[in-house]
Amino acid sequence: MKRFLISILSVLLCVTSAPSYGRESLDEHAENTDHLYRMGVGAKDGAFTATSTSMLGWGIALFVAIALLATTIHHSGGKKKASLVPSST
Amino acid sequence: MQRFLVLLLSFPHLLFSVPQAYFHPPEGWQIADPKTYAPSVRIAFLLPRKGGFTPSLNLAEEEGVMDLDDYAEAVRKIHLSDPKNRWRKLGSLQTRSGKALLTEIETQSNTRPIRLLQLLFLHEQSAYILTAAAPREEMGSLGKTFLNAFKSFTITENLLESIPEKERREALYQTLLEFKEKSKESRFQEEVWNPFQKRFLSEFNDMGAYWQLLLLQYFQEELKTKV
Repeated sequence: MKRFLISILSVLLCVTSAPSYGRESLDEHAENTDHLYRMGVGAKDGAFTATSTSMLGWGIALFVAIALLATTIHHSGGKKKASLVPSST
Repeated sequence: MQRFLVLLLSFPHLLFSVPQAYFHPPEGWQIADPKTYAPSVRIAFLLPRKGGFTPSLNLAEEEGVMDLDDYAEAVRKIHLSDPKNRWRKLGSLQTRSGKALLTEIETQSNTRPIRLLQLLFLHEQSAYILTAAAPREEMGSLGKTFLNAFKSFTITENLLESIPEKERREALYQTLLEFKEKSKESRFQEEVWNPFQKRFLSEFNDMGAYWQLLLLQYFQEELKTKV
């Protein structure tokens, strides 16, 4: 009986630990693959930010110009402009 | 020596701090809006001017990098995955913390040719990337400015120790020790911290805007936790 219980426990131990080991190994592999895939992201982010912040500097200037232009249009033909904008209410 | 030990006991992070990377941005450049930064970017500076593609400079950081050559190869592949990009190695550049790899990227922005200079530096399994961008035709005049900023790149375990003059360093230590006592006072922010901040920005201007920002941030956080 004792021998039977020990063998049952051994089998259970093997069965339950195997998937766990497999999962850990898979997680580690996924992590390594993911890291390899992402390597260089710092340089990519740096290049992206360099271009976008430089563009934004330009965008803000353009926005200021558009805002000034809109003010001029608003002053010269405010009523006509307003009628073109659909009412939200 | 005694003062130094007192300071270390007061601010233990000075002793057990993680490496801090900083560089001297060009004089008069402004900090770009942090909301526009990609996740790895720590700081970005812009040449204050209106119109056109504004030259910029930023510092990014990436952890878990083992080898600089492997990293440069990964970066090359990433940049060349965009068919309008051209990438090349320019060679090594000596910074204040050692040799780094200088690379160049040519790209297009709104059909305008843009040149990026990218400095790759490896320290304790972290890659530090300085990226400068300008319209291609301006790179000739801005090249020296960017290279000076790249050469100033420094990694330090202790920002205060970066101050070269002993007297200035000790005077700042002393001020900060006094703050530890005064920080409990109700009007500390208005009467002590704000005037100090103003004075610090002018007196330590030579250390560069980014170093100043890092140090102020560090001590503000440190004082907050001690109150």
